[in-house]
Amino acid sequence: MARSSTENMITLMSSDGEEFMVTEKVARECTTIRNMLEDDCVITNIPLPNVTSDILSMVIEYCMEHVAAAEKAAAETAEKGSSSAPAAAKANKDLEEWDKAFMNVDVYTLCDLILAANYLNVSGLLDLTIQTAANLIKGKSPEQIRKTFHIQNDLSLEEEEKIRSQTPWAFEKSE
Amino acid sequence: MAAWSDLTNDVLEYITSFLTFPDHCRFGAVCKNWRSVSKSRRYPPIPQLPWLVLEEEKETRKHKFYSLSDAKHYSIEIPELHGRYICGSSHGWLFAVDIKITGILINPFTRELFELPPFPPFCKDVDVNTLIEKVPSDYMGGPRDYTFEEMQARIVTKAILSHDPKERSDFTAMIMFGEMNTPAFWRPGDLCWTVVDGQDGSSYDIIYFKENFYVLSPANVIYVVDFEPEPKLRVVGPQISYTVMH
Repeated sequence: MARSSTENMITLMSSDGEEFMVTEKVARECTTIRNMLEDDCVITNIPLPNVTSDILSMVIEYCMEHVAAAEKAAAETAEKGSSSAPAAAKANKDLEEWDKAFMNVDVYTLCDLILAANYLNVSGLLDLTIQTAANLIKGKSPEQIRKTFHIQNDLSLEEEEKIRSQTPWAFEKSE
Repeated sequence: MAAWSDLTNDVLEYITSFLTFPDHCRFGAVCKNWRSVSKSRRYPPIPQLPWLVLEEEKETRKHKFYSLSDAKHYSIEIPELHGRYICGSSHGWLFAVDIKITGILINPFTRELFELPPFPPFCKDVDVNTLIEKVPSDYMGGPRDYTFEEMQARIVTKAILSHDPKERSDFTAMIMFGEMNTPAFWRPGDLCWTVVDGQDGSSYDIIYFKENFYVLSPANVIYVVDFEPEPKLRVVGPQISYTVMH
């Protein structure tokens, strides 16, 4: 589907003042922005004081990729009357691969992406980033988790002892 | 730049929804903020392959479990299970029978517990009052009374739930009990088990599927449990041939 030249463009402004021109369709991937547009349809310039330019550009990249994938699938369905299952499965797999590569970021960026996805309410991106964080926690000891996410241990020895004593089996070293 | 320890509670809680139970426990030992999030238990742990319930360790009285997903043994102290025989599991809950042949339904992780009413008589000749403490020392074979320990492991052969009691308070617990694997059910608030009539012989297995309990007989006849107007087994479908079953 060719992008129509009359498509509405929206300007998103990051916290550090950088402007990003995106189609309304891409902007609508963010539920927070979609709600703003529905409340006020003439709005064309949206300041996002909670999102820095490098994170905003990543969020936009994610939304564009997912909009393009959905448009491609819709176009194929329209062309053939129905989408072929193997083609749809391949498209899904390609998008999954893209997501996976997109998640190849450091934990600081991941944290900022989670906050942005949560603030802008991009449910697909929120699930992807949260799942990535959960995968980084999986099978690790509290000490390893702290190291991975650069977290200071602010629990006292007594508190830590108490927590461990509640489910000691979860803290045993691997056999 | 944001810090992981300071993420908002709703985001951190959402992360816990993607964690297994052991990971959830370790998540709660990372820092104060994560601790308070883990204690809220807003989301249940992510489903994983069921853990195998192994025996009680003799010395420590801890119950042993094996997680296929983690390929690990866990020894877990659950005082409510001391000396009890686990006769079934369903939706993460365990059915356990103690030496005096009374049953409980327990969630081993949240420790929520239901006391179950006394089980129906094992068979018409045996009831709890005729049980003996141990096999007589002069026992030479032949018929004799059951010991408590034997009965503990024999009275209930299968136990399942219609729903997770955490999700629906109007769940049904169904057991197969006694020599004939007779089906009987209990619902919260019931004062006794209700035996389901209508079958000629014994039962082979029982499952819950789409709002119904189904019973398979050794002759490969499938019954559905009707609760109204009175609890009864009703034959459904043709007899299954052996070639289909194996």
